[in-house]
Amino acid sequence: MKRSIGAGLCLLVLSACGQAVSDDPFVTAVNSIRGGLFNRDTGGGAAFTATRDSLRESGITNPVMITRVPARDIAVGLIDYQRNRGVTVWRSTDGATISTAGGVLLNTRGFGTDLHSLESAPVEAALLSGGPAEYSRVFRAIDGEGALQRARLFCQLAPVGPERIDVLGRAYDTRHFRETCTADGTDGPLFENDYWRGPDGTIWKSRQWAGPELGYLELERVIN
Amino acid sequence: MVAFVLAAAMLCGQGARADILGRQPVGPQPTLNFFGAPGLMDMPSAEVMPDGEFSTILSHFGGMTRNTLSFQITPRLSGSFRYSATQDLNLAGFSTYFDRSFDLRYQLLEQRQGSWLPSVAVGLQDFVGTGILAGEYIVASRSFGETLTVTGGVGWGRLGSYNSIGAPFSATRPAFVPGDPGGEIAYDQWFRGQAALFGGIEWQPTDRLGLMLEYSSDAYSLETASGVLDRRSPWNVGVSYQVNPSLRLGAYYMYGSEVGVNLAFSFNPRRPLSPMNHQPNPGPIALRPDRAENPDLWTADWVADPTARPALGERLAEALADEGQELVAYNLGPHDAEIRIDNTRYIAVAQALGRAARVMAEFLPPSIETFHITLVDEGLAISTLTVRRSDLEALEQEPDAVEALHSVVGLTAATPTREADLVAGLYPRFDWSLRPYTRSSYFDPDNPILMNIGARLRGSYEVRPGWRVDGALTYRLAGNLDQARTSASALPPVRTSGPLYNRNDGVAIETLTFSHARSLGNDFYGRVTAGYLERMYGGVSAELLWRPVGSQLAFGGEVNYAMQRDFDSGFGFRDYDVVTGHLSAYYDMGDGYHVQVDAGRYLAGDWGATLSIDREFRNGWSVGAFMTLTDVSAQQFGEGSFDKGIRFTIPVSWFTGQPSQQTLGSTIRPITRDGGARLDVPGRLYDRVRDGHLGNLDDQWAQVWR
Repeated sequence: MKRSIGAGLCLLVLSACGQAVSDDPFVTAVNSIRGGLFNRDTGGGAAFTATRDSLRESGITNPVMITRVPARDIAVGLIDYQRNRGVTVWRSTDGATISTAGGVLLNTRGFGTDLHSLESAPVEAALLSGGPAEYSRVFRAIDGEGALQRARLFCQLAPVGPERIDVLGRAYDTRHFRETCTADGTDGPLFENDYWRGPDGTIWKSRQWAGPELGYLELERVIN
Repeated sequence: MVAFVLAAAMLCGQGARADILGRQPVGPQPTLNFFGAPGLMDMPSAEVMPDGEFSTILSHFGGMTRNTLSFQITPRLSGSFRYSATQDLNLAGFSTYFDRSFDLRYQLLEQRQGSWLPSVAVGLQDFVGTGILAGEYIVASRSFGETLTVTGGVGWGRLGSYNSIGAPFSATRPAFVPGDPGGEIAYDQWFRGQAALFGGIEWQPTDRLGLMLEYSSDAYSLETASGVLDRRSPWNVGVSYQVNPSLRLGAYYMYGSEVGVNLAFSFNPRRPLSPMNHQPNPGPIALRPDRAENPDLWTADWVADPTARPALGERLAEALADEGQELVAYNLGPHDAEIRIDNTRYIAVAQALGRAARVMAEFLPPSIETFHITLVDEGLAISTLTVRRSDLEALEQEPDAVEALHSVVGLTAATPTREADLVAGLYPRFDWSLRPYTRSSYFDPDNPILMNIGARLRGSYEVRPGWRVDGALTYRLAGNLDQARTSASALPPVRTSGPLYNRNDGVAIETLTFSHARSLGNDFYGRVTAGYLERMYGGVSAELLWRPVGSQLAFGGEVNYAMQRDFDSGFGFRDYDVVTGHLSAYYDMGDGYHVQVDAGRYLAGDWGATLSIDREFRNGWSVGAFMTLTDVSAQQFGEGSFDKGIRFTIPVSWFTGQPSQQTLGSTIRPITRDGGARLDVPGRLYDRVRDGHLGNLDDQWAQVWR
């Protein structure tokens, strides 16, 4: 069932793409390399095939967030589209977006059953301080009836250690942090997020929970 | 309609019962018994279904078929409506005896974790029908772990007929009288007469499988006497299997002689068949350029350009149309802008308002800081939402964007639309549609379901906002509704003549009306309608409604002069006319419960009142019941004794996940008679006005950013 919804969504988004006849330079630029930048599974598993060179040749100078949603077989490059009071909105050609603050995922839009919002400020602060931390985050979702529901999650952030990672062919020295969140009435953790933080505080890579439907998003930040 | 729902559910199954964090509820769900109540096989238990659960149960054993609709009205209260057939009962002149009945159940006590107390429920079975299934019970159930439930209870009536233990409250219970008109609330028999004990156990080793053993206190006296059932044992055994979250199947060996089967389809308004799809995604709100860096972009000089406003209006209209919002009027000032829109796409007005606000932010010059968005329904201006553009910009990416925006917007009653603001060239407007229609009749003893299908051509002509001509023509393509029988009536045949309107083959004028609706100021709204109001009546109707924008309470009055139309649904009238009308009180109780009382004169000239109670869900589902008592006696009324029924509305978007205002719905009356019959007037004000008011907007506010 989940699979068929994913496929339906995929078809829908692709057809929306086909109609995106626009003179918006953003769309034009992205369309020119869509084959590499915008991939959804067609049977063999989704892969992100654009390279730093192909991005440069297409004139994409904005930062790109490579976003993989394994539960939906999506691998897509989202482009830095808008900055709004410390929040970066990353957008695909078909209008799907994710928002991050300090590299921490805040919401998704256009991925089906989206992450409505997950408070990011406590994690941002903990990542900046760099040490182990305990805090709470508020998770909000809209239920099947259309009502807003809230749940408070109790989280711990712990450093894992230094790690050298690769993002689209470029190596970064990072510190790896793991965040474990639990909810009242649930045994064991609800999710475990991983963040790879550079020396200047940039989150170059992360694996973050986006709600029970989307599961984990794998994010990699590309700056050319 | 019901069949469609069932088919959809069987194909899809239904969304899991997980909460927002994806956690599944603990343990299996209760089994629904042969009466469509939580229970074992023929006996009830004290369990409840999840709040809002809507179930259809088809069961059959020993020549008896029971089709039941059950609804968990509140977390503790549930109700059922049943249509049952007993073959060869040879009762009251029918070889197969058909019967409609209603039940109510209330859970008095809920088993709590760590407590030894069981759940306890009290139930009334067939409490307004003819009483053939009538029985009352008090029952206790206790679960041990997540797999074993033990139930025991005491029953009266049918449930007190086998191995009785005496009559604890009163020895006398009125006997079931075959052929009695029925329908009266049988409070004089509740918990009276002989009582008997029943009980059983259910073991659910997995979330899907259930094994049951029960001891029945129903002697089936009537059925065994007429040879329908050979009751050899009080013991029943059975197995049930949960195929998917919607469908549960059961097979049983009943009373030592019969095999029984049971199919239960359960839905919940809160678990849509398809998750809601919000494509096209509205995208982040357009931010204005920084004012300090671009002061020239922020001036209001554009106001001086005479071409600016029409050009902006055109762009707004186009972008709003993409969102299913029709721009009716607009007024752009240097710092304020108002748009008036007719929402044709979203059930949640908050979603329509949110999308309209984004369109305004995208196109309007930066100097405009305040947005006013007025909701218009078919020309009737209802309410105006005021929101600051800088709040939209500042809050969109906040985790609490929904709540935060709610606290900074304002909603007021709308002023009538000014002529000068109307979109140029929009009026007069003509609109039409051609769609299939179905019309059905239930519970005819020969044909339980009769149905016509055909084509319906609708047209509307709106001269000025709120001044309309509407009409609908129907053409029957196929069906057997002409076989529906009319029945004799002691009253003027105001509704029992309904089947005669189904017998013509040609084009029928379903409605043709001239109407005007407007806001009268001071929270009053008015409407006048004249013409062919409904299939059976034409005439004149006038309505006045009072409802402040933030009120839970509303009052209305309506007076009509109605003439009965010719059976051929042409222009002619029959020789029956009546002045009918009601005073109405409407109260939104909160938490999705709504109550309405209408008191006045009905079509047959009878005086009385109607009570309606509905449970409404944010996504557009509603399930309700109504009853009307008038000065017509039960004897004059005939079968059923008084008018009553249930009704439900299901939004199409619940099935498809695509935004749409289309709904499927039905009003089911056990029987249609002439007492307590109300005129159907199109375009009644209350629902139209309430849709744009604060209570409704608040309920659906979570959709504002979607």
